Formats: sequence, structure tokens, C-alpha cells
Amino acid sequence: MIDLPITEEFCSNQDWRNNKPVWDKEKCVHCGICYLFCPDSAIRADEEGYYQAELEYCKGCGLCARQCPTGCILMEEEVARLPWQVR
Amino acid sequence: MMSRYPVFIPKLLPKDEYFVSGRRSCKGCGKALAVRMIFKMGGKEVVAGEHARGLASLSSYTHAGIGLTWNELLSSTITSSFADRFLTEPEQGVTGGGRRSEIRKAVIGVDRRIFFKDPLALSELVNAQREVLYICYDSEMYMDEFIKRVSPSFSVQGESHPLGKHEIAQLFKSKQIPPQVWESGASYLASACASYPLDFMEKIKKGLQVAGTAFISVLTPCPTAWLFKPDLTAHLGALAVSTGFYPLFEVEAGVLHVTTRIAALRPLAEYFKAQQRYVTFPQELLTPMQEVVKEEYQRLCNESGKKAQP
Repeated sequence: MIDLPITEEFCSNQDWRNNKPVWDKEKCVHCGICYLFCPDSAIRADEEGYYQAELEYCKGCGLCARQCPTGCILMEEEVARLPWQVR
Repeated sequence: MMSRYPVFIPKLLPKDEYFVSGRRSCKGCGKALAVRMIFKMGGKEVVAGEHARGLASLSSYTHAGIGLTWNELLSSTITSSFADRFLTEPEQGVTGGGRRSEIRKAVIGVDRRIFFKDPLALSELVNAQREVLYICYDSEMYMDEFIKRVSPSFSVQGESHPLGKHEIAQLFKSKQIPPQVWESGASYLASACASYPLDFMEKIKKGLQVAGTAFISVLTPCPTAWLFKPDLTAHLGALAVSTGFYPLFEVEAGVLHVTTRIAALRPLAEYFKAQQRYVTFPQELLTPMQEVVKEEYQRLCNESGKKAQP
């Protein structure tokens, strides 16, 4: 029997997301607009000031890439990694 | 123009996130953006309550979606439970020694549809001049019922004479701030948009600081219902404002101010084309709507700085 991930608790969004944001560090100007516009509060700044999405919570909506003024965020396609495929 | 905002760099915003990740909202949800900004500005001082249908998709099954007190309200109990528990003590936030000077307010989030479905539900609270900030999420979820309610009169008129600007203007005037709220004498009224976050956060701050009832109506584009790609949420909010469809203004101490002035309004057809749900919109309605939108915007700009009238 397949173990379907139907639960009431939160499981990682990594299971079903099919694209993720990738930052180009050379173009990033540390403006923080991507951090401001994320509907899931998934973007955090690291120590150097560059931004990164927490892949547990990112849903791949693409708002950050659309709002970035320098165009340094690209949405990369990825294959959703379902729990029974990782093993 | 930037001098209007004390904070115009996102990095200077408070870093605490009380609206935590892991919600079940759709990807690109406009409402989630709006609520995140409310919690950024309110911080720990905000007691949150909400009419159940408006944000039910955003809270997880436990109440841990929000890091603060959270009460789900049904419209029938909104007056009894919430009002009696939180609003009978207006000076809750004032501690001994005069340490806190801000008045603690209750923030209630409601969906715009409550003003269609249940006109009497909020009238008690809105009229009572209590220390509440109402945030009204306008994601146009009421469109089905609205069209059903409005279309009989439109179709009858369409047979005898073409639909005119007058009927459309009547609907437009009550879109942002419902008539019950205009008449209630609230201290602060505003219309905001989730894609203009700094402007929205300024209005929340003013709403929290003003004495009495405050009411903010937020346009939150919804990719699921409006049928557009989820990365265009902020773009659609910007289109709604720059075509004049949803002008941003505030009424502070009875005086109207237009907060986002647009030099040249974009054509309304751009806003409709961006949403798949308007694919069957009748073309003959577009011209009167465009004229109504332009005239309303002109009227608002002309009355800016004067006493506000509905």
C-alpha cells in the first residue's frame, strides 16, 4: 500500500513544489524587496546580506522573481521530491 | 514623495515574524501578503480575531499558524463573544508607571462579503466607537452573489435602454468603503492594496494609533479566483491602482487625502485582460465603466484636502 501524505500537520512543501528561486549573487543589491513580497515569509537574509529561500516553506509562486528590480532571481524548475521517491 | 514614509527600506522593518510559514494558503496568495504586513506593523501589541470565512484557508488546523492569540469568529457571535471579551476594557494596554503609552487595540479581519450577506452583523460594532481596527479583505469573493443580485435590474434596463453610467457609478461608489461604515462616524478610513506594502503599513500604523474605530479596506488579488499566474499578484494590484479602478485614499479627522496620485491613468481594458475570469465580459460595458472610473478618480483628486463625503 502506498503511504499517501494526507495529514493534518504540516509536511514540507518540498514534496510538491515544482520550481524554486535561485539568486545570482553578483547582481543582488540587497534591497530586500523579495523579502518584503514573499506571501509565506520564506525568504531570509544570511550573514552577508544575501537572500535565500527556505525550501521547506517556499511554494514556488515566483513573486520574488517578478518583483526583483535587478532581475537576479530566476525560477528554476525542479522535480518534486515525494517522500517515497527520495528513498 | 519618499519622505512620507519613515521606513522605505525593507531591511529596516521589524524582523519578528508573527505570521509564520507553513500555511495552507495558495501560492501567490494576496491575502497572505496583507496579513503578513499587519503583523509586521502590529507586533506583539495586536490581539487578532477574524471572521471565520475570510482567513480560514490561511490558518492551519491548529491555531499555531499565528504566533499570537487568534480567535475564529462566526458572524453570529462576532458581537457577543469578541466584543464582550476584548472591547469592554479600552485601557488594557496601559500598565502601571506609565511605561506604555500606546493604547492597545483589537484588530478584526473581515471579508468584504460580510457587508453583502449580513448587513447587520457589524453594525453594532461599527457604531459603538470602540478601540478597534477593522481590516476588510477585498478579494472579490462575493462576485457570484453580487452578479446574481445585480443582474436582474441590469437585464431589464438593457431591454428598454442601454446600460448607463449612472447605474455603474452607484455600484462603484460603495466598493471600497461600504455605506454602513461611512455613516458610522469612524475616526479613520482608508483604502489600501497589498502590492503597495509601505503605504499599507503606514495606514495600519495610523489606524492603530488613532483613538476610536478605524477601517481599512485592502485589495488582495487572488490568483485562484481571478485566474492569473501566481507570480503576478503584486502586478495586478498595481494595475488595479494605476488604472484608477481602486484608488488609494484615506480619511483622517474628516479630511480626505489621496495617497497614491497617478499622473496618467492606464486604460481599464489592461486590468481586465490580465484576468482570465473577464474573458466573457461584454464589450459594450467597457466604455461606460472606463468613463465612470476616470470621473471618480478626478472627483477624488479634486476633493483631496477637503471634508470627505461618501
